[in-house]
Amino acid sequence: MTGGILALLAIGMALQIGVARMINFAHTAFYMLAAYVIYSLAVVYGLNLCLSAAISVMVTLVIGVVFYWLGIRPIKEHARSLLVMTVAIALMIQESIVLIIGSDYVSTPSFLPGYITLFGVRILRQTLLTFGISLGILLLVWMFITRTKTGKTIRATAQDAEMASLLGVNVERVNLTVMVISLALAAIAGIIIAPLLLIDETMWERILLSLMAINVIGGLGNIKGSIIGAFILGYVETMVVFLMPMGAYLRGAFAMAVMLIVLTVKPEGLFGIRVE
Amino acid sequence: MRKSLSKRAITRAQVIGIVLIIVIAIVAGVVFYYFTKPVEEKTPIKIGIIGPLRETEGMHMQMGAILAVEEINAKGGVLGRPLELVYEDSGTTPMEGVLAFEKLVTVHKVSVVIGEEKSELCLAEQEVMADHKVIFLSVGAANPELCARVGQNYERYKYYFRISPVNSTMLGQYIFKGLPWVRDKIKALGIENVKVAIIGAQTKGMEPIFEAAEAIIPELGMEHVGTWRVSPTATDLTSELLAIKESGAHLVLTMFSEAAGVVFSRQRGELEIPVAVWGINSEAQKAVFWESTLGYGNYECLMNTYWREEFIDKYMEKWGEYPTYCSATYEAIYIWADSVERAGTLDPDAVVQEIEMWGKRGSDVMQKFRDLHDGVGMNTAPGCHFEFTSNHDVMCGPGYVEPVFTQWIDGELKCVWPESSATAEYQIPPYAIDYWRATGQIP
Repeated sequence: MTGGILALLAIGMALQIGVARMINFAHTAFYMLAAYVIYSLAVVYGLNLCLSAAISVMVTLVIGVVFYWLGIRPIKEHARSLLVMTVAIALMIQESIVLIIGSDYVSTPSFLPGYITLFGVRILRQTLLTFGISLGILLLVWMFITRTKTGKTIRATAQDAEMASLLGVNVERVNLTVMVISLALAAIAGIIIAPLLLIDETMWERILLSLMAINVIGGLGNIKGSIIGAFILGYVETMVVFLMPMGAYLRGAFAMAVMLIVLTVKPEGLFGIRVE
Repeated sequence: MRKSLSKRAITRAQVIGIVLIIVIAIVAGVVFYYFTKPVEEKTPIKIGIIGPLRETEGMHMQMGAILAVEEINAKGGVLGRPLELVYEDSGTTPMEGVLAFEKLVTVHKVSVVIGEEKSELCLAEQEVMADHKVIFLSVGAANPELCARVGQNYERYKYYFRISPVNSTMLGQYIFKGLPWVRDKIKALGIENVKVAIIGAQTKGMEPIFEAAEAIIPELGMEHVGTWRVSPTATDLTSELLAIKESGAHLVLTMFSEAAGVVFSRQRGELEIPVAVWGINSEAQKAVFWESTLGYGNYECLMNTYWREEFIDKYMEKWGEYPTYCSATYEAIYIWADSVERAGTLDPDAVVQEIEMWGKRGSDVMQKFRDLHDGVGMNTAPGCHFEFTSNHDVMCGPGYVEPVFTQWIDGELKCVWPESSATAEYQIPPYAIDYWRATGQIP
C-alpha cells in the first residue's frame, strides 16, 4: 500500500521534473490539501464520501492550476527562485489549513470499513481498495503516456523540448497538461490514503523526503524508475518493521540508506541516463 | 440693633466645624465609593500565562486559567482587585521561553507567572524567575531537576512551585503500579501466562520507561513478547499492530506522547487487534481523540490527571473539552490567589511562605474561596489533598495527588484506576475476549 501511494506521488513529480523541468516542493502539499478537503466535506459537512472525493480532486486541481499559472510558470526558468516559490506555496497551504481547520489531528472514514483475513493476516478493506486504486491509476497513466497521442507528445517534450517546439508542439500547453496530471495524481493519492492515515498540517513534509529519494533512486524524471523506486522504498520500510521491531522507528533511515547505496553504485539512478 | 445673618461674624470654631464636616463628608464619600465600586473598575492584578499557546497544551492552559479568573472575579477578585490574564507564547526553544518570561515580568509587570509545559524551557525560565524574584507556578513540566534546584539553592529558586503533573520519576512508577491489577483482570478470564507487548514512540523521555518496563514485566509474572519502537510522527502502524497480534500478546503497554498514539488507537480498533491496553497516550487525553479515531479508539486506557467530576462537567460545559494536565492553571491560580489573600500582600516572599503552607493547615481550607471548592483541590480525589514537598514539588502518593488511569468507553473518558477514584469498570475489548475464546485460551 505504501509503495502504491508513493508511486502515485512519484509519477507526478517525475513528470514535472522530466517534462516541465522543475522540482516542485509543493507537490505533496496538494496531496495534503486533498486529504483536508475530503475531511472537511465528509466529516465536517457530512457529505457523501464519494462525492466528497470527487469535489476534493476538482478543488485541488483548480487551486493547483491557479498557483502554477500565477506563481510557478512566470519563474520556471529561474531554478533557485522556483525552489523558494514552491516551498512558499507549500507553507501557504499549510498555514491556511491551520487557520481554517486548526492543528488538531483529524481522520476521514474509510470508503470500505472493516477488515478481511487473508492467509491468517488481517488486512483493512480500505488498504486493499487503496492499493487496487493506486495500481489501476498507475496502469492508466502508463497507458496514457505510452499509447495516446498526448502521451507521445509529452514524452517528446521530455526528450527534447526545443525540437518538439520546432515541430509544432505547444510546449506551454504540454507543461500545463503535465501539471494537471500531476495535481490529479497527488489529489487521488491524498483522498485514497486519507482514511488510512492521521491527517495533520505537516504530513506534506514527512512524505516529501521519501518522494525525493524515490525520484533519485529511479532516475530523475524517469516514470518507470519512479514506480519501481516507490515499491522498493515501501518494501524496505515494511520489512524493517517485521525484521527489527525494536528499530521500527528507523524505517525512514533505512529507506534513505537504500537511496545512498543506489547513488553510490549508479549515480544517475536505476533507470536514469548517465551524462558523460 | 440686630445684625443680619450674612453680616454676623462667623467664629473660628464654626469655621473649623464646617471644615471638619466637609472633610468627613469627603472621606465618607471616598470610602463609600471604594467599597461599592465594581471590581472591574479597580486596578487589576496581572497574571502571566506562558506556554505553547498555539498547541493544544497551551490552549488548555488558557482555558483553565480563564475559568479560574472568571470565578474569582465574580467573588470580588483578590485583595479587592480583579485579576487579569496576560499571555506570552514561549515557542519551542529555551531562548524563546526566556524572552517570553522576561516580557511578562518587565513589560507586562505580572505578579505571578503560571504555565510552561516543556521542561527544557522551564529550566531556562527559572533563571529569569530567580533574577526578578517573581513567583512561577509551573503546569506541565515534569522534570525532577526543576524542584531539585529549590532544594539546592532555596533562596534563589524558592519562588518556583510545580503544580502539575507529578514529576516524571513518579509518572514512570505509576505506569507500573497498576500493571498487577490489569494482569489479574486478564488472569480472571482464565489466561495463566499473560503476555505483554510494549509499543511506544522512540523519544528521549520514553527511553528509561522502555527499559524499566522490560525489566518489570517478568518480575510481575508476565511474559514480555516484544518491544516496538516507532517514530513519534508515524502515520501508519498496521505492520506493528499485526506483528503484535502474531506475537500472541494479551496486553499492550503503550508509551505514546505524540501523534503516533492516535494512529495506534485508530488502527488497533479498526483491525480489532485482540489486546487489552494500558499505558501512556497523551493525545488520548483530549476530547478530540474520539473524533480523530472515528470511535475506533474505544477501550484505549491511558495515564491521566485526576479531575473531579464537577470540574470535568463545568470545563466541558464551558469549553466542550475534557481537562488535561495543562488545565491545572485553574488550580495554580486558586492556590496563588488564596495565598495572596492570607498574606495580605502581593510581596513574593510573603506569598511564597503562604504557598508553602498549602495543605499543611489540617483541613486545607481555602480561606476566601471556600464556596467555590469543597476545601480540597480539584485534581485530588475526595479525602486526598494537594500539598507541596519541601522542594516545592507535588506531593505524590496515597492521600495526596496521584495519577490515575482513564479509559475511553463508548465515547466517554472514565477513570478506571485506582478503584477508589474509579467512575467506571476497566474494559477489555469484547473482540479480544472473543478471540481468546475462539483460540482456546479461555473457556
